[in-house]
Amino acid sequence: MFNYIIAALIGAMSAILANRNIAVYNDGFRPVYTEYLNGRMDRKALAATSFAVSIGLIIGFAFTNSIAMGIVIIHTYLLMGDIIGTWFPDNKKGLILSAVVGALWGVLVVAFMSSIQAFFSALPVNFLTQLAGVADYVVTTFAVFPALVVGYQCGVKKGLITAAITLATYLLISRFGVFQVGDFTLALNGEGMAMLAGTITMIVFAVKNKTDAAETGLTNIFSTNIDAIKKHWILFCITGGLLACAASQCFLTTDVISGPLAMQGSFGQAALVALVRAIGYVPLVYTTAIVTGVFSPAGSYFSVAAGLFVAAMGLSAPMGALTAFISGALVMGLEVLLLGVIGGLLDKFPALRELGDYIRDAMSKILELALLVGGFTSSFAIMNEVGMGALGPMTVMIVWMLNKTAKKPVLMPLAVGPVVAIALGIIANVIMVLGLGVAA
Amino acid sequence: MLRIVVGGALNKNENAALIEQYGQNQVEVKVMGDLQAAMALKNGEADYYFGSCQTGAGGALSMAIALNGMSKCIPVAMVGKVLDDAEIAAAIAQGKTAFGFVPEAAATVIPVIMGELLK
Repeated sequence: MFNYIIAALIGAMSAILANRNIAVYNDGFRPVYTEYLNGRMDRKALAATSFAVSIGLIIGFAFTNSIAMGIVIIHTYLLMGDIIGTWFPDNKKGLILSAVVGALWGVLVVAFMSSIQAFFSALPVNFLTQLAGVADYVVTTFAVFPALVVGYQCGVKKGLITAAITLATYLLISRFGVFQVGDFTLALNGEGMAMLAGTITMIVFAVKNKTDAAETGLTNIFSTNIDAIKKHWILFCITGGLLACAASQCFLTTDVISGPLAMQGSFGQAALVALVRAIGYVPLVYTTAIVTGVFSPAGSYFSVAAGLFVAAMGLSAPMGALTAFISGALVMGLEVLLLGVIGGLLDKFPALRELGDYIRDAMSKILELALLVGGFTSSFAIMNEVGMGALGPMTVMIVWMLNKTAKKPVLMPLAVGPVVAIALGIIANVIMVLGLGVAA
Repeated sequence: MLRIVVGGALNKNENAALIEQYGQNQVEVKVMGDLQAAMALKNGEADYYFGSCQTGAGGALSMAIALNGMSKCIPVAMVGKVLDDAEIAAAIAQGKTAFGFVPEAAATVIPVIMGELLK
């Protein structure tokens, strides 16, 4: 019940923010608002654009990965919030309708997620465990991404240095990371600490990296936009609190890396991943916000990281949710407050701006490969249930290759593994029902 | 000489290489931060802007749209929607100068766009 209420509130807030032209989630859609606010585009065209740039992502990315992981990715709520909010006129009636339809969407998502889980587990071949295996290599390899970032930004040599530091940290923490303090055993997590060490190395390299990009003075040119966003700080605080609350209760996350980690109960690592990802999005989200005056309903996602950190503390149910709400609201409030300051910093140090691009690039490259490998292993496991293991990897290979060759790729590369695994799970059931299975 | 800037978020160097490859030695390609690239287009220091990102319409084009207006920008390949060659040609004829696409479509859309631009 609690999940439904929080999801309904998130859906409503996201639709309201879009409806009032205050915030939209799609980073590419935000600039389109400039056209609308300057009167070069009407509401209908705005709504159509919103639909066009988000619907593919909702279906092809958000839903498929949410199903595969068993935890809802934030896009599922907030991209639809963009569409709902822009679809209604920005008057009082539109506002109310947005809130109602947004809340309805939130409820629908939770209902859909829980019924699909129930549906899958009622099938003759329950493949949910094997399906979760799609994310196995995401969980085991996420820690190395800073090495890739450094490689992109500063060359392979420094990338190797970062990799060495990451791996050495993992080795040391895994071997010596358990401390006994009286009766209390503190076990440091190898992957988490390795990623932290890599991240620190990455930031050191980035700060030392010189670029010749010129300062643009954006923050000063667009200071009225920043003020416009700040005016709505209360709405942002509420949304941030809700998102953190949902994340702390393990039914919302920002990405396909922290999702599986949270599902395994590794909230500390999930929080760390969400935090670094948030840093990676700061340049894109803040800069588009500053030049358009339209922010993101989730800011740069720091509130979700805060929620996951609260979950890592392991507080009991009502306290945990409440603490998460308060910390999420505080973090979001800080984001709004510091928007201009951070925008100015990004402008002064272009290397930091670039770092954001490289973090997003590296994370998506690692996800692509990790989900592909996970797709191979999990689809083998799924088809093995009906004694046809090889059919799984064969299908993944075919879909990956043909999708790559197609003039119009149907699937995002990172969706291939999860989508094929889900489809095969259904096919395995058909094979079972038709009695075509081979005893494994 | 066409002056082309590569902004966006993903695969900048790969995109630049493809543009060079199909540029028939008539292009000058510069890889830049997306903000700087979008500014260069706005200030007339560049004729065309290319960018890619995971969705084809987010980080790929956002700064270009913000500084140059939607009328100059077109996502030619988004998740689930890649434009036909004819649609791309029509967009260029309409005066679009900034192109956004998903990385997996780069190898198919860049040759088409370059072919049109060099006509």
